[in-house]
Amino acid sequence: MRAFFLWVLLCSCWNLGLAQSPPVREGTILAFLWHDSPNDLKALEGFRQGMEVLGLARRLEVAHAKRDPKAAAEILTAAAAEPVALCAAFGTESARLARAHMKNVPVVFTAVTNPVLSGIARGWKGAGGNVAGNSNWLDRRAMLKAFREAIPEMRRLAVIRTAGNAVSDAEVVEAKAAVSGMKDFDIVDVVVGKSDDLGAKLDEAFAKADALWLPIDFQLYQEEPLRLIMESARARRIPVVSSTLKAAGAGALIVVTVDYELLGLKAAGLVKRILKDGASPGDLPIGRLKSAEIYVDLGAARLIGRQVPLDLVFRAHRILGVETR
Amino acid sequence: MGGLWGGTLGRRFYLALLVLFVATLSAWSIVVVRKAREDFVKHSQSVAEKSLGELDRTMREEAGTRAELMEKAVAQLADNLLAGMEDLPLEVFEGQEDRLLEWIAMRLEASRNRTRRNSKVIANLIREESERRLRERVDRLVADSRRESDAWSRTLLKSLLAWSGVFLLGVGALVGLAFHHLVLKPIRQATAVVETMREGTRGRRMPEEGAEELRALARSFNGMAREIEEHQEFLEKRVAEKTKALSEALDEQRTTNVKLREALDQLERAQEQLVEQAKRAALGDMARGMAHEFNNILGGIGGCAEDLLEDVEAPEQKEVIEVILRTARRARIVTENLLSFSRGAPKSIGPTDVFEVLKAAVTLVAPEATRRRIRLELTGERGPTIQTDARGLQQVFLNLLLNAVQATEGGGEIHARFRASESGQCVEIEDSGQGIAENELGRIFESFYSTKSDAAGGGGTGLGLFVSRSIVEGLGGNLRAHSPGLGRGARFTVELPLDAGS
Repeated sequence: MRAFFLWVLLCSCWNLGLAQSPPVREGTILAFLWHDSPNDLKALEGFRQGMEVLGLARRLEVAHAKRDPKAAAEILTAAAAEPVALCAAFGTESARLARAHMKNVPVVFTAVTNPVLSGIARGWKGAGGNVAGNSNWLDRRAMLKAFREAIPEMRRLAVIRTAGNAVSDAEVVEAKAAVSGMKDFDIVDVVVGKSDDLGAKLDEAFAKADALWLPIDFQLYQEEPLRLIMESARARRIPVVSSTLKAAGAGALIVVTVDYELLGLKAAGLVKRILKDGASPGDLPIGRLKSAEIYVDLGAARLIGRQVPLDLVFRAHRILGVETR
Repeated sequence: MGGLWGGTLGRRFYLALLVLFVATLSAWSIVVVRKAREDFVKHSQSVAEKSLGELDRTMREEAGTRAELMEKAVAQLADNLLAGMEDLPLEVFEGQEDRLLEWIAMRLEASRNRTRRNSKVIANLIREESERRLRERVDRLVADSRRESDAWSRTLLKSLLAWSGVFLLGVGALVGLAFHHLVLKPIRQATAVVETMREGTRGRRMPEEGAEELRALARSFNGMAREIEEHQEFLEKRVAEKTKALSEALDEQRTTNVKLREALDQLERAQEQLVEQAKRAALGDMARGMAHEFNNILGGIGGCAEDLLEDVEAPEQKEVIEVILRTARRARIVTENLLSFSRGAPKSIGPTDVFEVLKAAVTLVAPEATRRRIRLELTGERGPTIQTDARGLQQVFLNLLLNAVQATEGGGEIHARFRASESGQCVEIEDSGQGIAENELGRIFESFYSTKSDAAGGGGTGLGLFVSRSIVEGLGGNLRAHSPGLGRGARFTVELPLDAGS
């Protein structure tokens, strides 16, 4: 665990050194990223395609805060002062910072798990003010159903997350609400504090539950903690389920997520509505995808001596862990 | 064939066994092995047909299942594709349909590649799953077939054992028949001949035929039978001679025995008479002595009583003294009688009314009977007078009545009966007293034998019944006693002829 926090510290130092502050000018569309989350990067990819289609690609500037609050503040303050034509924020933290610094510039967020719970939007029908966006919201009941389908005997699902993470907070709140109506099924919340040992917390989770859920938690899905989580679970033959793309192919039995690229593309649609059609950002409803993507890892299942039901495999968008010729 | 079946008994027997064995083995081979082969073919065909049918059914089912699964998988892949289309960002491509089509084409291409890969994986999975199910079905089929084959093998084994048992029984029966024909039958014939010889039939001989051993046996036996018959005839002749001699000796012996028996009877009677004479002589001596002494005493008592009779005047006292005098006189008469008996005194035969004599004796005994609470009853009617000794009879009746009174302790009944007939007269004295044991009935008339205990009045002298019978027999009559047993009373019968003198 000590190694994990050392790694987080090193990452922060590295980010500080490499935080990018692009040249912003009037008419620029700023794409702001708090960190290099794979979800956010996918969404940025989709957003770029949208900008291309809309003919706004040449105005797009991308800024990475690299998890540096100071750098983030500098980027956003400079953009607000210019001012840029629009700020596109990728991920919950980016959206929260953009909303805080951009008062007179339209802000379009994307890949925010629950903007209402995170305090970014006033409501799902409209974020209010200068903010519009879409969410990577998932129907948690459907997600948990898919988890239970993968592990039929599961009665208690432990969710492991770090303290104070807005994204995983929102996921757990939604999941607990969804579980309340389910029979013979419960969620055990295991929160890892800054001084906590991840191994001990994992032991606690394994002792209390039949399976482990890794939510969208930036600190836990980094390489080292992710490896520790997957190896510990595999050693105990505990299946891991997840809602983050980082877990797909890393050892999770099943990952339920959304198409972030499509989400970024749909965010470009919001840019068009604001900049070309003159729509008021705060009145636009927060967009959500109707479909979810399921990743099934048959290799991970085989490693812990399990089989994934065929019906679930049929529904999977991506099947991992098998060689095809 | 005659040569083959000839020879010794052993050779015949072993030859028969060999033939039977070969025949049985052939029959066993033909029937059992053929049946086993047919059963095996039938079973194999059945198992093969069943297995093929099952496999065919399984394959069809699996093909159906795989098709269903593939159909399901394809439908799901299509659903995934369609679900992605629902989220199509049309607002971005507004007015740029070409770009939209390009984007869709790109998405479809990406989706196609992914679907192709997924399809392969799913197809593999379905195949693996199908193979696994097939393997399970085949394994089950194999296990079922093996189980069936095992069961069939067991059934076949049982069948073979049963058939073998039947054949063994058959062989046993045939061996038994052979044994009977070759061994038992000749032995039984020999036994029958021996049996008839034992019963006395002569001239029977064993047939000298069959195996060599049996012919030799028959020859020896017949020779022995001839010798036995000759010896038997000799012995019979000797026995007849001896029997005749013995019979004559036996007849002689029987005659001698008869003579000896007669001599022995005479000897016994003489011995009894001697004993009786000795007893009478002893009794006579004793009676003579006693009578002499009692006469003196009674003379004294009589004298004194006469003197008292003269001295007393009170009628009651006179009556008592007269009773004493009468009694003393009677006692003197008795002692005189006893004296005369002992001397063999002559009886005073004269016309006597026996009923009156009995009545007088009953009158004498009545007071004593009354004192002992005994009902004394006299029955009968006076009969014609007969020539006999009245005194002797009175003594006899008194003896019998007093004995009856003494035997009826504590109350009871005494019946004195008189009967007269043309041939004689009869008096019965019957009491309900203590009775006489069966073993004592034969001895009570012996002299000095008494059944009276001391408690019954000083005990008996053993002379009463002896003297009574002597008197009655002296008068030509007889005195008999009868009792049903102890405690059941007794009856004494006196039978008198009409003329004692005759």
